[in-house]
Amino acid sequence: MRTMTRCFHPAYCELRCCTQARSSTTFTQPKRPTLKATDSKTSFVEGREDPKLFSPEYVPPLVRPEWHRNQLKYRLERMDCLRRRNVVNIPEFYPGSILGVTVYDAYAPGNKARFVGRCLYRDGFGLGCKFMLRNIVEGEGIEIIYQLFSPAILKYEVLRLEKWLDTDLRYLRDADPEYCTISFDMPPEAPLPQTEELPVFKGKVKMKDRAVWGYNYHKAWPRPYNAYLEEYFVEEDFMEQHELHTKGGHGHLEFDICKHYDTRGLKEKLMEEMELNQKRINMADKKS
Amino acid sequence: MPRGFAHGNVFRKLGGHQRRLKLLKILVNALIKNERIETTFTKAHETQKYMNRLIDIAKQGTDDAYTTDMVRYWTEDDSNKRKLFNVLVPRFTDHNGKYTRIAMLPTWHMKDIDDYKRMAVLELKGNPLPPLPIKEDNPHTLQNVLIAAAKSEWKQPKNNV
Repeated sequence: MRTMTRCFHPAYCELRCCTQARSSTTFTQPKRPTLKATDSKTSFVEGREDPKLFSPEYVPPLVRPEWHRNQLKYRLERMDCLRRRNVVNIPEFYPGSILGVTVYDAYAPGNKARFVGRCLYRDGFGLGCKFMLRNIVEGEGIEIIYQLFSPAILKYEVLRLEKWLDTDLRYLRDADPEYCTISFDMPPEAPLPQTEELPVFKGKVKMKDRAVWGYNYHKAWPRPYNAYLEEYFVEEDFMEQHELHTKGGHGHLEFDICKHYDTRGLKEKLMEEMELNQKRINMADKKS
Repeated sequence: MPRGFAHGNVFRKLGGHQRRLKLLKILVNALIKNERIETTFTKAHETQKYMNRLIDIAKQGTDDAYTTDMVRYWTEDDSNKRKLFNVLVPRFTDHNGKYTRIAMLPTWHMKDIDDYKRMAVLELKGNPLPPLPIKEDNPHTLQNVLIAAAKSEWKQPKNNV
């Protein structure tokens, strides 16, 4: 009996397996799409997205510890998102594009209120997805957060479809006001067809004076690429780790690999799943 | 979950962000070099997560920009980097996520301050060192017999009726 148990010692088994594997098969490195070094640190996803197939709110949140993730709940919620999208036309848009949103409002004339602004960020998972619009009306900055799947929203209009390198543009609060002043009578631009590639805005935005900033953008990680911070800093200021690690900084996050969330591999899986979901919904509609 | 965590936290503080990364970097490098290290349980448990993640990243290949950035930071010298790509990645191609193992050692009584340290051994799986004398589970207890039977039943192909 003793010899038998020794034979099944876990370390021994693994050793044997490994030697076999090493001798029999040669290692081939898995291939990955190559990204530029500047793009690798953002959560920016390449290519255009069909919102019924892929949208940032389908990506499950990074919940820890691992056993608190409820995959079944995530799948069901994605299904509900698709059901809602089949009823209401929610167009494709990204942080940076200009939107007009019509909401039901009991106290407004005609029970409708319309707001136009630039989308600064999208946040949240599934039916709880939110996005923020910012506009400057008569010199006063106004920001409104809408729930994407809210039943109170009657109509979405994409006035200008834009995609920026950053996914969080809240630094536009401290930027030149011209980027967020949008007139309510702005006519919608002609929509790009789905097949055509959308150019990404890689230019820089002029910031206000550093003394007026509400936040230390130069200490943030990932660093905002579309903000023209080089006006106030030289490159060596960014590279100095001490500056990043001080109290307001997020510099340590750059190399804290366990806190990163790599969603590059998830896109294809989610697209397959959403295609299946669409088929399931069609089948259920036929039966009823 | 082991003690030392507040609710909802997964990572220990270990004296601040900067110190924590510095300490973990040393331990990860020692683990790559020696394949088996002996530390306190808290440090071993924290290093385990980072070692697993680093091997996961290295599996993506040397072409990836993210991989090169991270591996450059987390490995001190070229020998460790080469060992990571040429020895550890081929070894763990078939494994999924769990590349390390922790075994507990007796607690260490520090007499001068009358305090105890929980010591542990952290090792990479499939290492060439002689195996640790880890106590095995008795396969003849009632629970283990039932679990083994359930596992074998689960692995059998199911007949869809």
